[in-house]
Amino acid sequence: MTGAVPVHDRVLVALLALGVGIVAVATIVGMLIRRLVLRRRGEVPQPLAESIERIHSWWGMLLIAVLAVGLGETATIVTTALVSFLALREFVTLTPTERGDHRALFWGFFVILPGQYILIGMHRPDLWFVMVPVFANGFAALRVALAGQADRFMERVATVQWGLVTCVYCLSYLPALLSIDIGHGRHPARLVIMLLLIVETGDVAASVVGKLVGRHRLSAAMLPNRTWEGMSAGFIVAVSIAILIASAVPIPVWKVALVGAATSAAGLAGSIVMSTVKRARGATHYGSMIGGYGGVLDRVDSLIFAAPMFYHAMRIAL
Amino acid sequence: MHVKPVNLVIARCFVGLARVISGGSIRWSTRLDPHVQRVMFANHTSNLDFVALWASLPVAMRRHTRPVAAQDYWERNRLRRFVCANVFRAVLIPRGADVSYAPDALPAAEVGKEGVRRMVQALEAGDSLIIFPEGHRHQDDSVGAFKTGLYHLAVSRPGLEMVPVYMQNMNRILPKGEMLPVPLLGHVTIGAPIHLGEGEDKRVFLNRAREAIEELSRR
Repeated sequence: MTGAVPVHDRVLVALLALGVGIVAVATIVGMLIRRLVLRRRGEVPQPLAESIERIHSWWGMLLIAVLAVGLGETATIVTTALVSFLALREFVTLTPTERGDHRALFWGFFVILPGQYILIGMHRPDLWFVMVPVFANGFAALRVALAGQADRFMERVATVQWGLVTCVYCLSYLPALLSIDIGHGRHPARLVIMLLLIVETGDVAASVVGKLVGRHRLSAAMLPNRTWEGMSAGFIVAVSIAILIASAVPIPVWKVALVGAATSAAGLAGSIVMSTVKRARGATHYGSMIGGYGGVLDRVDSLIFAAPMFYHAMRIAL
Repeated sequence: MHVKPVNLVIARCFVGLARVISGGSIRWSTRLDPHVQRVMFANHTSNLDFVALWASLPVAMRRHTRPVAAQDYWERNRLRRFVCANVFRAVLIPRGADVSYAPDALPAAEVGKEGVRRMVQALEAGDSLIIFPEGHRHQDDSVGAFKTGLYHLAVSRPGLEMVPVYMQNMNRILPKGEMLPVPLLGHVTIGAPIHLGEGEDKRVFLNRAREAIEELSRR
């Protein structure tokens, strides 16, 4: 499936162009809104500035998509592994690990993480489906146990395991899409771009609409910008995008719509869950690596549940 | 002092490595003139502390900034000795009787004086210093009691700039007793300089210095 730049796949090029187009338009609109608000109020309120920053992180996603298309599978795997590494680093930094977790974490960063991506590159789903959730998690528990510190054992093991599952296992589904066969003449990178388009458009729609017109919170305990209005808008936009690009895969439109719906719902769920992890630790952001607002994990949170959902839903539908 | 090019390269590698494994995040509360001589003092939890702090300094500052380290620990094997002497140009000072291993043990009363003497010597040569006044690596986030060296330095060099530095998360990245680091995000926060007040009491000054670091940790 790897190899030279697949420019012969016109649909793929069109998908990519659509991605670039959407991001470019969103960036310009974001700049206009910022300038307008700046002129009218003298300053840009933080939630709005954050939404605009979120648009900018799309360019990073787009870069991954371009890599997937242009440089092939290995480049995509390496890039995603790097994203995984940075995400896991932010996750563990924020969570309360202890001295006895040190060795388990070392294994997580330097053995389990690369191992997972190597298995993806070897096209061994029989191994990478189970490596993290079964074996790595068991090993992490053992390593914490061997360190001999028994207080809060379950909580500490769960922290390490949750980090591995979300930041390594779930994210590794993204490059795994490249090993799905969607028929002759159709480059599987189409799937990567489809996933990114569905998740990212839904994500930004949810965030912008939620902040601008949202009134009804998901629950009283949630952040004020998580509203039913925002979630619905994100869902609708994501499913619409899925229907728009349905012809990229050889399955009926209604099936693509279902895949899109499941993926979008998973994406919204992922971002809710990961932001609750943050809030449990009293932080508003995982890091400060990207721009002024948030780190890598703040940006890929919606991909965490969406990537596995899209992968499996697509394989069922195909 | 002249440093061999090969050792400069090694130092450069340490700096790069420290930045990668500690996240390389640094916050400055004030602009420090890189050419002014000063003593930077920080809380101490990890062997990573000095390299991480050193790596966050601009090159102009790094070149004439030397760490102050425990002689008994850093002379224990050849690798440590080499790194200390040639790469970081550490100022090695003796520690007191609370340390089990002390090859050339000095009488308790002399230990402190000898340490201060060596630090003052380095300052007189024009170098800046990085010191960890707790005297050993602390296992938790609290800042321990300071040894008195910082005060004696301030007395011997009136007007010397003393810059508090708070090192965060370094003990989680490389705890005491571990060889391999877990690459979490560490933070180096550099505070505004303090000076010894005229006639300021030793204990008052040391407390003030310690609180300056604690204050940075609350930011």
